[in-house]
Amino acid sequence: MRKTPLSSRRGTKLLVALLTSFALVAAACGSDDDGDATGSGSATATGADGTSLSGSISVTGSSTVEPVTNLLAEAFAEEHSGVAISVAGPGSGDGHKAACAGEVPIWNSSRQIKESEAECINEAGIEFIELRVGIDGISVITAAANDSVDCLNFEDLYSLIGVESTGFTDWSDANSLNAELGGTGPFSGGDLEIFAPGEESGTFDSFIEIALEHVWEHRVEEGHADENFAVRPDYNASANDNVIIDGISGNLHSLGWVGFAFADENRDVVKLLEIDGGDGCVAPTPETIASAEFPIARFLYTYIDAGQASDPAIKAFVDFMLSDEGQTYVVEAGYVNLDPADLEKSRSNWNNLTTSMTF
Amino acid sequence: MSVFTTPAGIATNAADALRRRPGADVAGATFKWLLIGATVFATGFLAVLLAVMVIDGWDVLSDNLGYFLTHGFSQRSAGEAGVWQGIIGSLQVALVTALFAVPIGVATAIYLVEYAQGNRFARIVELNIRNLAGVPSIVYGLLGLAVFVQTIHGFTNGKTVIAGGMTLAALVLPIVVITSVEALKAVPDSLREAAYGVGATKWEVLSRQVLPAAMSTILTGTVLALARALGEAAPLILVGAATGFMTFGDANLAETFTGPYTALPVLIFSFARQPGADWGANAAAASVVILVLVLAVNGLAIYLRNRFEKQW
Repeated sequence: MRKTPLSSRRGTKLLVALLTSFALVAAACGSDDDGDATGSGSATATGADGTSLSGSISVTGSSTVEPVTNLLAEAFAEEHSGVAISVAGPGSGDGHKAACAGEVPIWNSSRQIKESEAECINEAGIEFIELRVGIDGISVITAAANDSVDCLNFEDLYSLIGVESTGFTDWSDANSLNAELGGTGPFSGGDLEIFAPGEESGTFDSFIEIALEHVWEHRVEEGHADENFAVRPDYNASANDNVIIDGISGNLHSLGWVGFAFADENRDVVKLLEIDGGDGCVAPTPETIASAEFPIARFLYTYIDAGQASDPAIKAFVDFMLSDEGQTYVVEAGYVNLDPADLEKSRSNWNNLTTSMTF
Repeated sequence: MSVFTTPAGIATNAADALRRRPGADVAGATFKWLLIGATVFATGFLAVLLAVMVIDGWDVLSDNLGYFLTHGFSQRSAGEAGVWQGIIGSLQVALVTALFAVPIGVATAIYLVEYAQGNRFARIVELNIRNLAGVPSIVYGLLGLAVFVQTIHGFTNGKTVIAGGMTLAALVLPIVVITSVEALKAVPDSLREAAYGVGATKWEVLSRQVLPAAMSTILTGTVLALARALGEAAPLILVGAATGFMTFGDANLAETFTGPYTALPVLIFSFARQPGADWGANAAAASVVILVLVLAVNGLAIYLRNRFEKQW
């Protein structure tokens, strides 16, 4: 066999065999595709869900909202194994763009859709239904025993955490910058130890966007601040929220931020600071976050192509998303539930197929 | 093999040479040392990278490998997430890539070498193809989005395996063409002339003599091009590979080609951006998986070359 003379047929055969082997491997694995990701194995047959839905659902858009959709989709897939689902999170803008090109039935956004994006989608002959699904609220925290600070405004946060505070190791180091910016200082002294999420975290991005960016951009324009970084590099970054909580609770004059849900669970060891966004100090509570009174919070949106709302798979998925069970995944992903009025409005938008911007 | 000469051996050789003819070949010895240094640096770098990946991914590779390979993405926790759909998606995409890139690439090469040899048009085309091989992959992603996803939406059904595979086919096409051109050029003219001399037609010369002779090199080049395609993430993310949860539902195999997909490199990207060290272990383990896959494909290329290589 080894010395078989080379023939063209042999070469061609080989190429065909190569391609076929790819196909076979794909086929072999493709045939047992249900029951994935769950391991439960029991609810995969059509009998379990009774209705045996099929079809496909694809969701794109905000990477901030993606974890919520992933959790929803995972739970949904356990009930409806016949539905093909894919979730992607390239970004809010990409989601609206994909919708404008008519590519997706459902897309997420960590901000409300812009007029220009809405126009683009409408011009493509697509009407969209706007739903609020949750709130990304962020708490600024210190140790539970720290009595020297109760409320901070955005200028304070920038003078303690912003890029110009690089090297400040004591709260009092920030006083001159704070006075220049018009903060609430001067602060009394104390070792300034900062614990917060690292750059890869959505909470990091959200905090910069909502709490620091405004002041920082102003300082960049005036030529005071580095235009590449909004945050001081010398803080204790951790991707693990538990490590942040440990750091905050272990240092009396610490400062940091985490998602509200996580801070709220640890009220025994950390203190959730009030924030003044220009309208007075507001303490973070589910109520003040849900009503948008608390300034470091933003609504998370999901948009749906109204023309595809009657598709059984899509209808079932959005129904599940807005159900009480579906809403628990908002909290599991680290965000805050809507207040009942907003949730009711989302539900009625969906049930009545109300299109265009409604919030 | 001189590559495996130990540094100590070289030093002895160099010292011997110096003793024999003092000052004779210092430059040569120095040069050889520089080359060895470069080789050690290059392989050492790779070894460190590999070691870091295996160490970082060890928890997953040692305790959880079976689960990791047979389950899809999960948001719930790093321990519940796997790469199964990435493996399937990568194989599917590679299949589509091969189906498009190989026939078109080999046909282009045959035309350039056997039919248009040396003419102005062929030279310009070849030069351009060589330049195309250096275009960054993200550019092919944009091309794929504009052409395969949007313009020929009717054929690809949008952001699907087919569109992803075609995008990667466009990406590796220049590599397939270039290696095939080199393979055909390496076939000695004496073979063609002998065939013509006994009265063979051009078709017979090509199909019976030249192509079989060049087949091993063409196959090697093709497989290496596929290995390159297997490692691409950026163009696939642009043409809509899922970064999050995914299931095929009750779609059959044929339907999955016109449905959503993901790929191993895309999953590595997804794992790496999740917060938490255990997700990092997943990303490292997935990197090891893709490396094994690519090494397997490269191994196939080496086997094919050795099996069919013909010395002239």
